[in-house]
Amino acid sequence: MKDYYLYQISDAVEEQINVSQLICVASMTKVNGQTIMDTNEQPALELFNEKSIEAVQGGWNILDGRTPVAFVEITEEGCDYRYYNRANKHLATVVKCLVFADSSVDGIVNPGLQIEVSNGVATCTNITTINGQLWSDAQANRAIQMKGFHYVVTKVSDGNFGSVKYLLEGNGYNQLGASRKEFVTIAKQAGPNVDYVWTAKDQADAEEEVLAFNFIAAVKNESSYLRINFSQIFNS
Amino acid sequence: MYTTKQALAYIQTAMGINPIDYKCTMREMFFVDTKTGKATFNNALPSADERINMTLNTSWDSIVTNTDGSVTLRRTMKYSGKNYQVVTTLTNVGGMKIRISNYMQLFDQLISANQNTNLASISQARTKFNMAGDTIEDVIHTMATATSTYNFDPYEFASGELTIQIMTSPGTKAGRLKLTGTLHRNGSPITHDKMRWEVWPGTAPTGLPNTTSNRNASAQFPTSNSFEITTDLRDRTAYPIMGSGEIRVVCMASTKESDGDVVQVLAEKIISSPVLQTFNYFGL
Repeated sequence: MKDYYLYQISDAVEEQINVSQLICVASMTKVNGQTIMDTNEQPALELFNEKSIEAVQGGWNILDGRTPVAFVEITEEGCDYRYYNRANKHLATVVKCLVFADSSVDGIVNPGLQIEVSNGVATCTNITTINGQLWSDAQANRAIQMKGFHYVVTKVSDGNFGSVKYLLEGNGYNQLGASRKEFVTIAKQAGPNVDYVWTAKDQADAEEEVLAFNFIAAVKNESSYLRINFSQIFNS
Repeated sequence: MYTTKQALAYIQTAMGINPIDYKCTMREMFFVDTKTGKATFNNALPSADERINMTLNTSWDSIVTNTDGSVTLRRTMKYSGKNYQVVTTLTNVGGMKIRISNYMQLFDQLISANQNTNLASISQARTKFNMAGDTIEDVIHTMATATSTYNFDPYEFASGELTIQIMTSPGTKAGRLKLTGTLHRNGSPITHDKMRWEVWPGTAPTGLPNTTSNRNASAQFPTSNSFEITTDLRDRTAYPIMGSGEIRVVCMASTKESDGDVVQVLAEKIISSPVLQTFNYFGL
């Protein structure tokens, strides 16, 4: 049994900045000498996914490996943190305003799947967290008005999602949410209650089958996809 | 230098129209890729909510009335460290219609510098704008002038009969301002069927009742007749706004006339308040 989450925040990052409680409420992008404000609310998790951190003068550098890729500072000016997409904040082309979320209003969604393989059948259970709680326990609020998940099975070469072939689109959803919220099953052989069969021919193929899963939190509001290769699934 | 407020007031005086009443019904332009200089004709329909006053929501270097009654506004835009002219002209073309053209000097220069890759679109423009015998400079100048036609749809009710009052009052917390809209008929408050707001410059839509039926901007604005705004993004239950000092608020309310016709009334207010005079979120 193994758990996979879309966003992996290291303990080192979490010790310095309480990332899992932060939400990005406004972004400014500099384009062609002008600035564009973007106002979609997103969890700040994505900015810190698989990153490390070092404290520097005035704030923190966010590192990708050893390379500083961003700078974060505390501010009192209308938000709690500012995130710059360059280590030198004066060169930043994107500035994001991060604030501590209020669980009665906001939804910080981290899509997750728990994979259990038994007798050649992989059961992929939805263990998405909302504001740090399991999705089924989290209370509905303004941002989380429905709960459900949507998955697709695609075939990709060399991790190139630009030219995916859709093999299966499952768990169709409407305004009420996904038809099944809990799990999806994949098996190496056809059987009862199997959503997708990973045939021997597919397994031998150079192209990879990928399960992509996203969580539906509000009307037309979805998380990014958590993608897992079938070989990863059956090695879980 | 003219502010948006001054520009709107100037147009109202010079042309006798209230820009708030006008929405865009058609837009066409040659869009120019700033990397390749390639021009492509674009006549995508404008969004339903695009109005003249949104086009004018910026500051202007000069505003003049031309001999034919049209109004020309000039400003500069910066691109890659250089300043380029933007010339916006509003012309009353009759039948309650207003045409706006936007000349973009940047587009003009980009198309001129990349004539060889734009032969097809220059030829298209010659046909489209009936400029078969004109010089290539004139054709490119026309291509760089995006045009929009704005149409005024007059309301059925007598002018002044239905109005909306937008009032401000202190919010329930420090740093908040409360906005309330009331629909009036002949000066007396009446109930409305629907009310919708837009606030510029706005930011994340939180803390307000909304229809949540889609992510179009219009649905993210409040539908109640009063709500609170704040410039503090940390205040998660009020409507946060960007910038500092001055905001522009548009309130739309609909009601049914005695004959059953639904009429929509629009009101705009530019609000300055010390509560809104805070800081720039982005620290720039």
